[in-house]
This record gives sequence, C-alpha cells and structure tokens, in this order.
Amino acid sequence: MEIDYKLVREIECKQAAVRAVRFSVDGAYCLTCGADRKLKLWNPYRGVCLKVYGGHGDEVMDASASCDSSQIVSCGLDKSVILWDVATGTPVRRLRGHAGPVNTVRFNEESSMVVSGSRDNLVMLWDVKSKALEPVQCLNDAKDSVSSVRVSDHEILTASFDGKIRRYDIRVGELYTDYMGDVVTCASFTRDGQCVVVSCADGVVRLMDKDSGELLGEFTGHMANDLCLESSVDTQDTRIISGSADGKLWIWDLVSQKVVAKLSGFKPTKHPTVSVSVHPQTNCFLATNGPNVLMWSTASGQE
Amino acid sequence: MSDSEDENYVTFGVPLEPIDEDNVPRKKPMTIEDQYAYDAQGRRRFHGAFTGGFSAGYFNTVGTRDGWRPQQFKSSRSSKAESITQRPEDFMDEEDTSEFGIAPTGIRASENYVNSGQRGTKRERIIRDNNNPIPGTPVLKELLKPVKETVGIILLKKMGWRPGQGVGSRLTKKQKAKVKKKNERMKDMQQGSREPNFENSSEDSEDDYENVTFAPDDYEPFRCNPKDNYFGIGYCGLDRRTILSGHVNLFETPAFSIRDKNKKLSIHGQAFGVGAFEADDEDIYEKEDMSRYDFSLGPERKTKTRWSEDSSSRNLNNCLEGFVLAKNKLKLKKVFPPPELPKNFVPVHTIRKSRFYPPIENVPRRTENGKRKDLTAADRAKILEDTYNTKKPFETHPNLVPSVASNIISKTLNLHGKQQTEERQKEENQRAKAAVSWMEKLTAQSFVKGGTVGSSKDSDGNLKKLEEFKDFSTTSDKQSKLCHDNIVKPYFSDSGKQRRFEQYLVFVKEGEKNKLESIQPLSMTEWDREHERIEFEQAIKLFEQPTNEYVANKFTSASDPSRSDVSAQSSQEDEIKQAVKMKMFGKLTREHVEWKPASIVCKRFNIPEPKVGCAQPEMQKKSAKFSIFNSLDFNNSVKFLRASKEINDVSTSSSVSENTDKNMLDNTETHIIDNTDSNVKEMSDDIFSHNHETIELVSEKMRNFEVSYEKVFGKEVSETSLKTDSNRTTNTETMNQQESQKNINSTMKTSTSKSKSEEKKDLFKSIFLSSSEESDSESNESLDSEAVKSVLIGKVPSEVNVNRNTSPPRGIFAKVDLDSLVNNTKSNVQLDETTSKEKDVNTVNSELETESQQDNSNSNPSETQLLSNMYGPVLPSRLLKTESKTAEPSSSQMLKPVFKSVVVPKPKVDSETCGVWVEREKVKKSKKEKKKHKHKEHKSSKHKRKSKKEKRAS
Repeated sequence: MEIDYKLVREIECKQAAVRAVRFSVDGAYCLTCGADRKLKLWNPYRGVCLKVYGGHGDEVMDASASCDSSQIVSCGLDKSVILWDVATGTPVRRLRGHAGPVNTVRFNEESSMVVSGSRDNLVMLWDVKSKALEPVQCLNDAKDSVSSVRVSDHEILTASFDGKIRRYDIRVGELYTDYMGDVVTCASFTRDGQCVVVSCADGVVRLMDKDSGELLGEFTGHMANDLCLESSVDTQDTRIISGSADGKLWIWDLVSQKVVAKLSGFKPTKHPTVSVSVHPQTNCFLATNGPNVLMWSTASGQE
Repeated sequence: MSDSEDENYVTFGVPLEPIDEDNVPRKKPMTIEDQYAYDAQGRRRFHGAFTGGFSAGYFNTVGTRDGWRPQQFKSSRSSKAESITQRPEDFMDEEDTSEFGIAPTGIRASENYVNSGQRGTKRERIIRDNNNPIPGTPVLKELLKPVKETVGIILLKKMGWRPGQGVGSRLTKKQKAKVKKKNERMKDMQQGSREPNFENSSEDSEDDYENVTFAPDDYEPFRCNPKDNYFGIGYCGLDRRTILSGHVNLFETPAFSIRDKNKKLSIHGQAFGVGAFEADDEDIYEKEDMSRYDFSLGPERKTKTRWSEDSSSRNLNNCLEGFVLAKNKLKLKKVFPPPELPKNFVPVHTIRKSRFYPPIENVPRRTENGKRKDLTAADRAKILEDTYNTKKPFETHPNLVPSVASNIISKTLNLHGKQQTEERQKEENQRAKAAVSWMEKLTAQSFVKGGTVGSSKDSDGNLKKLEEFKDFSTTSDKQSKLCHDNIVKPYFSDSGKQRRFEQYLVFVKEGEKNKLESIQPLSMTEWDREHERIEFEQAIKLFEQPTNEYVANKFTSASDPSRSDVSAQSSQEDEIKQAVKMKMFGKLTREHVEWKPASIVCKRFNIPEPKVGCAQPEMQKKSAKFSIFNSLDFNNSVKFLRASKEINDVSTSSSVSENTDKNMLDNTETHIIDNTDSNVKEMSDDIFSHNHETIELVSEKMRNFEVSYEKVFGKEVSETSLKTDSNRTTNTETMNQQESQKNINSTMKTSTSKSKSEEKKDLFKSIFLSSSEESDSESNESLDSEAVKSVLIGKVPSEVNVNRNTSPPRGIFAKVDLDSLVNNTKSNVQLDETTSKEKDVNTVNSELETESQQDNSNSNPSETQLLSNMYGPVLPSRLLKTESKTAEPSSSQMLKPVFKSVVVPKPKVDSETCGVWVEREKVKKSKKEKKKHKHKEHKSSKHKRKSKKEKRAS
C-alpha cells in the first residue's frame, strides 16, 4: 500500500524563520509563527496570507486556533500569551503570568481554556472565558522547561526537557509521569487517544501506550541534532511523522516501524524541518523549513 | 637697640599690640567662586550659566517678573491716543540714574542759570517771570549765583590754566614735538591709518626758543566714528566713483582703477567678505583690497599699478605689523622617532597594589580560543586581596540572657509577676544549658519540674512552662546547629537582636511564633516587642523563603528531613534509568500521584470534579517535622495536646514504613485514636461506655482501628506482625488510655480549640461514618459516593484500582468496576453501619478478601482476564443512554468536541447503532487491541531477539 505524497505547495512566509505552523481546527487555514514577532494566518491551499497579527515583543513560538476559528492564542519569547481576535487582528487579552519564554500553547477542545507551557518549568491553565489575567491553575511538576503541551478532552499532556512526559487526567484526578530517558521535545496524542507519540532528543520517536506507559514502537533514522523537533501521527493513525535536521519530513509506518517516505521541498535546503502539523481530516501535512512552509498531501485516499 | 636710639624717635598714637604669632587666626582667603558682586539692594548682580553673565531680567533691569513689556498703542475715535514721547529714562533703572549710573541725576547747573557776571544784564527769563506774585527778579536768583564751571576747572584756572591748553608742566618745543608725535602714533594705532597725518606745521622753527616753554597740547579725546552703514564692523563696501570726483586720499589703500565707458573709474573698498556660510579665511582680519583680485583670465599680469605691486611685495613678507623678520633662521628641532617594538613583543601588565609592593602574583589567565576564561571567585579574591574565606566564626550564644543592667532594672521595677516567672525560667534554662548530655538535661528538667510543682499550685500552668523549657532545650540545640549552617544575619550589628532573630526562626519552623515574646528582653516595651516581631516577620519573608513560588518549586532545601533518604531516591532513579536503557518502559518508568485539578478547570473541561469527598492529595506532600524519637519522649509525660499533634505529624509522614518502627507506630496510632476521641463526640462517648469493658475488647478495637487506619494510609501491615505486637500494644494502650482519659478531663475544662488538621478530621469522620458527611457525598456523583464507600470499607479507590489495573478507570469501566465491588461488599457495608464490633470483623474479612484478590492478581497479572470479566454484564440503562448520546458526535469528531468529554474518544468507531454492549466491545477490540497485540508481538519478538543477542554475546 504505497502512498505517494506529493508536494503541493511551498509558501515563503517572509517572516524570518518560521517557528511553528499549525492547522486550524477545521483544517481550512493555517497559522505560522515567525521569528519576526509576527503571527500570520494563511490559506495554505492557495498560498495566500490572510492576516498578520503583530503585537508580540519577541519571536512567536506557538499558536493555536480556537474551535470556532474566532480566536487565536499565541505565545512567544516575550513571556506572554496573547489571545487574538481573528477578524480584527487585535489582541483581546495579554496573559503575562509566565516567568520565562513560553514555548507552547494550546486551546482545549471547547476553546474555553488555554494551556501554556513555558521555559520557567510551569504549565499554566488560563480561563479565557473570564477576564481574569491570572492563571486558574499552575502545574509545577516539571523540573525543566516545558517543551510541548497537548490537550485532549479530559487530559493534559506535557513534555518537558527533564525527560518526562506528564499526563494530567482531569477526570480521574491523577498525574501520570513517564520517564523517557532523554529530553523530550514533543509529545502528542494519537488520533484514537490511546497512545502517545514522543519525540526525544536522542533521535528516537517513541510510541508509548498511554495507559500502561509501555513502549509500543521506536522510530529512528532521522537527525535530531538537539533540535526541538515535533512529531505527529497522520490522520488514520497509520504513519508517524516527524521533522528532522536534514530538512526533510520523515514518515514511518506505525506498525512496521520502517521509513515510508522522506519528503523534501522543491529545492534542497540547509534548514531543518522542525514544526509539523497534520490536517485534521485528510492526509495533508504542513512543515516548516527555515523561512518556508511546505505542504504535502496524498493523492490517493488510503483505507 | 640702644636706649639712646629709642629716644631719638618720637612716637605718635598707641602702639599696636604685638601679634601673637601662634594665635593668629588664619583666615582662609576667599575663593573666587565665593566672591559675588552685589548691587545696592544686595542683589546678585551677575548670574547666569557661568556666573559672569549679566542677566537682564527681573532682578536687574526691568523690575517685573514678566520682563520688559512693549508699550501698547490704543486709539479710538472717542479716546484719541495721546502722543507719547519716550525718554531714555523710561528704559532705565534706578541704578542708571544714580550717582554712578549711566545718566546720573543730581543738582547741576543747567542752561537756565546764567552767570550774571558773565552775561551781564540779559534777563529774558526774569522778564518772563513777571506773572509771579512778587514782581521783579526772584530774590533767590539774586542770592544764588549759578556755577557754570566745575570746581576743578576753577581751580585749574586759578593755577593758570586756560581752556584749550593741556594739563601738565610746561615743555620746551622739542619735548612738545616729541609728545605730539607719540600721541599721533597712538591715535594711528587706534584709528587705523585712515586719518591723514598732518605734518607738524612748526617744523621749521629754529632753536631760538630753546628757553621758551610752552604749555602742553590739550589731549584730544579719542573720538569714535559713528557707524552709519549696515556693513560688518571694519568693512567698507565698494565705492564706485570717478577718479576725479571726490577727495583723493593718497594714503588710503590703493584703489583699483578701471576704464569703463571712456571714464576712468576707481573702485575703493573691499569687494567680498566672509559670508556666514563660507569657510573661514586664513586671516579674516587681513585687509583686502580690490587690487588683489584678478579681473581677467589668462596669464597674470605682473604689474597693474605701482601701488599694487608695492603692496603685494609688502604682503609677501607675511609679517605682522610691529614685527621684524629675523635675519637668520632658527635651527629646526630634530625629532627623534620612538623606538620600534620587536616583533615578538607581548605586552604584559602586572597588577600592583602600590608601587612599594611587589606585583601581585600573576593569576594565570587561561585563554581558550581567544576568549578569556572567567576567573573564579577565588582568583578575583586573590587579585583584590579580599579575605572572603576568612569569615569570622560565628559566636554561639545559646543563652538568651539579656544584659545585666536590663535585668536589674526589670527586677527593680518588677512590672509583672509574669516577667518574674519568665526570669526564673531563663535561669533554669541556663542551668539546663550547662548540662552537657541529653540525659543530664532530662534529669535537670525533671528536677525543675518537681521544684515548680512544689512552689506553685497551678499544675497546668506548670506543665506548660515545662513544655517551654523543653522547647528551649531542643530549640537551642537546633539553633546551634543552625548557627553552624550560617543562616542569614540581617541584624549583624546588634548581636542580641540577631540572636533573637535566629531563635525566632527556630520558633517559626516549629510553628510557635508567639514564643518570641518569651525571649525578648524584659527591658523592651510592649511597642518595641510588637515592632520587633513585625520586623522579624518581614525579614523572614525576605531571607528565609524564596521570593516566589517558582523559585520555591525549583529548590529543595538540603535540611529538609523528608529528603533524608536521598540515597534511596538516587538508587531508585538509577533503577529507572536502567529500565529506560533496557527499554523496559512501563511500570518501572511510570509513577502516578494524585493530582487535583482546579474546580474551574473541571468546569471548563465539562468534567465532574474528581474526588470531591475524599482527602486532599496534598496530604502526601506534607512532611513530618519531628522524628519519631522526638515524639517518644512526650508520650509518657507532659501534654496530651502536644503529643497528639506531633503524632499527627508523624503519621502523615509517608517515609515511615519500616518494620522496626512498627511498635512505635502502634503507639502513635493508639494516641491518634485517643485524639479522635476528644475530637469526635460520638466516638468519645462510645469509648467512655466501653471503658469499663475488658482489656481484650479494647485491644480488639485498637487492632481494628489500626487495620482501618493502615488501609487508609496504604500501609501494608501484615496480620501476623500485628498479632505479635498485639500483646505489647494492649498493655501500652490501656495505660495510655487511662492517661489520656485523665488528660481529657483536665483539658475539657480549658477546652481550647483542639481540632488539629481539618483533613484528618474529615478522614476519620468518613471512616467513622458520620451520617452528615455521607449525605453530602451522596448528593454528589454516584462515583464519588462509591469512592467514599470504598474508603469506609478501608480502601482508597485508587488502591483498589492498583490491585487490578494500573490504568485509570476509563469512563464506563470505572463505574462498572466499583459497582461490582460494592455488590461484593454491600452486606458488609450495611453491617458496618450498625455496630462497631461487627465492623471490625467485616473489615478484617474485607482485608482478607483483598488479599486473596491480590493473590489472584499476582498469579495472573495480565489484564485481559479482568477485562473479560468486566465486559460481561450488560450495562445499566442510564449508561447506555449516555453512550448513545455520545456515539453520534464521535463519528463527526471535529465538529462537536463538547460532548466528547464524557467518553474516551474513539474516532475510528462508526457507531450509529452503538447501544449494545457487545458490539461496543467488538469495536473496541478492532483497532486498539489489534494494534496492541501487534506491538506486543513485536516487542516480544524483539525481546527474543535481544535474548538471542545476549546469548550470542555471552
């Protein structure tokens, strides 16, 4: 079942290095976080920049769009988390609780809360429905910088540079900590919510069972080079996708753990591919490469 | 000097006293900056930026704050403006019109006054004045003759001076000529050579008049030429006129003459100056004339006019007026270049503190890749000759005795009796200090105790004091330890205060802040005490605690007793790392703790708050402050309240799980029970009623409590160990029981607030099943009530889950799980509520049950069996409802994530008809399990491979 991924588009974002690229919830738009302190909203299918959001004091590190696409939350090296109004492009709220640069930010599924992870080792939960500028809760378990945060309907998954992934189960009221042995740069849920894909700095992407914490698979071959690489699964939970220092997008088969494809852009680049985003419904990948955003998609619908 | 000489002189006046040279007041000369110029009103005359400026402002000229205001002109038809004549005086100040001003005013002879002697009978004025009441010339005018000439002139005239002559001695002709020449030269210098030099007309006079002297010529005052043009000073513009017109001045600068329209024109003056925007000429004061300009292209004509050539040649000399060119040139100074550095020269700078000391031993500056490596603190200290490591050893002052003087004062004043007792306490305390060993201290204290009991009747108070003594003894030990730790010294200058502060720190650690008063010296007033207390509190905030919680979270203090088992921890971490290396992820690498999401978080996630009725998860984090041995001392004697409190602390410590401690644990537990007796009314009643019963019953009860207690706190105490201990514990228990009874009686009277930690209370209440609590919990979710029930049985729900499955209850499973559990033990629970005795049996039974379950789980650890059990029964209808409700949105997962919070997301499940349990199970297995199995197979194969590898390696 060979699938050929084809490069659909290469967008030059013109905002210095693109730190992160994120699909919106419905997959119609994408956000790019630039090192030039700007956040841009794109239609990636046409390659058109729709809006520029300026207001961060330093590089924008991550962004997340709300489920109704009316709001964007972004975070940056200026230690602030900013909630944007999509239409007007103005910041609705500026949350300045973190003591260090904020690496990652996510909405919850209802977009009523924002979870942000920072270099000050804290994960903060913000209630964006209220006007409070204080976090409603601080998760201070991490012993090092928080690299990624994911929110499912009842869980908060955080990865930290202290080599641990922490899953806060709100429903049960427990915290599950899994030690990964090396710095964790990214941890994300699979689509079925049963497994966790963990990118480690030792150049291994691990598939962990969420409930037992057992190792289900290891995906190697790509170059980590101490980069804060992101990883993900494809829409059907059949492929593992990860960025790499060689500027390619690596794709493994989930079951056989073999490399399926190494996707690259039109021309060879010296920049690494760091950030990865997968379309919520179709197999369409976005990845950053230096100042560019690349988009691949599958021609054939699989399964 | 001889006397005769003295007599020769005549002295006038009183001689000054001889100056005593030693006592001459040496006045410092006034510095220039202190000297100010003041005007008549005593105002500073000069001020401004450089104090030399003359500021024309309020103070000096105008006299108003606003400065000079221009005059207004206003004229209308009705009121015509008067013609205003302005006088110079309008713009002057008072100073200007004063004697030494610009226009001095005073009585002077005016033109009206005519010297009658000179002018004779001309009296126009007087005629005009005929209208006066007294006709004729005024008498005053007759009397007063106006003086036209000043006194000086009159005097000069009397001396023979005539107007027009100069002043001075009379001169001969030659002398006069000489002076005249000199004067003229000076005038030339001042006015330039514009003025024509008039030759002395009397040059040709002979020497006949050698003897005749003449009066000197009058000095001609220097007259300024009024400036009537708009040129810059010293510049005269071009003046074009015909040669013949006007006065030909031979001595002026040569004019440039041009032929223009058959007319000869001579152009005078300078053509160009230095504009504002031009660069400076070499010499802007150089006199230029037209002759120096070229008016034609091509080769320069050498000579235009006779004059011009002459002037140019003169200018070539390039010599200032009044200077003469030297005849022989000066020798040029020879400049020697600095010596060249050798190529391999390396500049080295040795640091010296002073030039009298040898250079400081060179600290090797390590350089790496051209970058200077940072100096260490020691290196820097060496450079600076800092004695940072020679800190003064801190003197330990364990005795908190105030100064002798203050002691005496307070004694004499004898303000309160209380203070006296405190005094006594301190003395005793001192004595206690003197004792070296712990045992000696103890004996000393017991001795003290006896003494005080004998002296005063209030035994309760005495006990309290003794308590304080003990605190002193223990805290002082701690304090000395702290001193070695070198804690913060905010009051280093005031050693007494510093001592108090350190003591206060100890108190704070023990949570007895109000004890500060007891160590403050008696000489202090109430206000001082309060003030100091506040000060200390702030200081503690500053120094002791990390300023914010971020920092607090990052660091753990080394002295934290809960972290004493560092080695154990590190070994555990090593284990984990080993496991990771072996890729044995799972139970080894996982740890899970209770975590309580904020209620608002749950609300926003649409999830019911977990563990509402249960104990707070923070309990685990609490650390004991005393070791168990500390509490032992207090068990037998002293104070119920205190002992129980410490035991509470001890019981919260999770670190105590060793078998060796078990006896003591039992002890403490019995105390807790006593404590709860006093706290919970019903239970205390119970115990009172049971008090008359036999020992066996009590012991059974105790055991029962112990079992339940250990269940709650997750301590796995085997039954056998309990049995072995039971004999001993019963003995102690009965004794303790009686003692505590006594204590309760005594403390009931005082009946201060005895409730210690609220969490504790809650926990025990839940254990003892107070009806109010249960109703509360029942109002909540069914899950929670179940959880409470499980607690009642003696199990934390998490523990129950741990026994089966480490995974959290996933939605439905959780409920199913607990349901089945409750079904099993439902009868037990009901019985439990009826009598306590039966409850004992039940709990024991239940424990046995759990043990058997544990055995089961141990024998087959795979989850599948349990799962298969769990999936069996058809779910209750209400659960099915929620299931069907959520099943629909799960198919269109992204659109409505709101409902997903109820059930685990299963995006792959296409479950329109998903209402039946069995189908669900099938679906469940379809994706996830398959995958899991695959991976497990894979993993196992890997392991096989690994083992093969190992075999090969071996």
